[in-house]
Amino acid sequence: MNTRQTDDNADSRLDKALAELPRELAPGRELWPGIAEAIANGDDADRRTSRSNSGRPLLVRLALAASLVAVSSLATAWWMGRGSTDRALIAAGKPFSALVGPVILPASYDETRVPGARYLQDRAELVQALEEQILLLPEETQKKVAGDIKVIHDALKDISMELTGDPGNVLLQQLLLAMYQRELTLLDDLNQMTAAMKAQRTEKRTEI
Amino acid sequence: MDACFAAASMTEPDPRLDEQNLVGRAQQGDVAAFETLYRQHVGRVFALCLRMTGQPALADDCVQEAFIKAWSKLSGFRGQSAFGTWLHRIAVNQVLGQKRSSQRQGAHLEVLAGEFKERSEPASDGQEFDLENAIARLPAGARDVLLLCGVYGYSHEETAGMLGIATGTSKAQLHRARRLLKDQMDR
Repeated sequence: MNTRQTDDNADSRLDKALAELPRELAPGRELWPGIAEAIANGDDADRRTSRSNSGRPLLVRLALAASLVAVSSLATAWWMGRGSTDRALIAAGKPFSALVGPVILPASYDETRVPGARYLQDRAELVQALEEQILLLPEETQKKVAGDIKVIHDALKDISMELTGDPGNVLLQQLLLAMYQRELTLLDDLNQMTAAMKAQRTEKRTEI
Repeated sequence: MDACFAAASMTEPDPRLDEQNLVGRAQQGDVAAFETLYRQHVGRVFALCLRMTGQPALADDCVQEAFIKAWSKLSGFRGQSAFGTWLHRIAVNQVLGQKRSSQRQGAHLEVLAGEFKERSEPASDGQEFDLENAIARLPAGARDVLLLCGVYGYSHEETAGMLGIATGTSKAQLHRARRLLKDQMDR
């Protein structure tokens, strides 16, 4: 059999296999209720994110949206409280490490794989650095930080709960990863701010 | 016998007219008519989304969003193409938008990169040639063209229009996809 015949044979085998592929497949879940709900609510798909609304608690969406605001508002709160750093510094009621707590995970996940060993190490180092540095922030800012962390943790709990029931859901997996990243970014921002404050105070003392 | 068939065919409604009727009613705000259209087309739309994304849950979401978008754009459907083609175009846009969104989000996840990789590896049982699996492993551009052109029978012009690429690119991608699939078949 020459090369051309082999090619023709392969082409016809491929065409046959392609023709046999089913053109219709059933979705994994009933999608119509979500569509009907969106139609009834007058939702415009263009204005929404591309993920589905059905079957997901409202809190996931709210918590996600709230946490997106949280990091930027932290910087504002810190900036507004800059002048008061010499006032009495207070702890937020409990150690920072207790406030941050362990990583929130879906039931079936292994934390050394998701979010991963490197994340765990970076997070632990930041929490350790912030244990004392956080006290350099004004009381109002400390409260703001505690609130921001709670928002992120609430979102992580919601997403983890959803993932436990639907572990293959890629959008939820991405949301979970984004939220881990959000927490790490918040801790990193805090660390940079408080480290700068610490350096400033050290410089002042040296001048005196 | 032939007469029976003839009589039967006379009483059966033309599916295209039936669909036109349903589309017209849906355009007037008839949700029940739109649900019927959804039931008629969801299988084909889902199969396309599933093969383009390779992720059942993501495909579910894309289908849902595509039909919601179709409802909101229904008044603009003039019947210049088949309703199914129009729906496919919306679904393809939805999948491509979803992919772009995922890529943007992925850029912020450097610290966590690769953690889910193992989870999303396609299964391989080492048995006979699995075309679905082979299609899923194709490069995205080649896969999308193969699906629209090679599986769903759209012309290169239609495929290029749906994917926002040049007709020549569509032809090249189809050739590439077929070559890669044939290579895998011969292994």
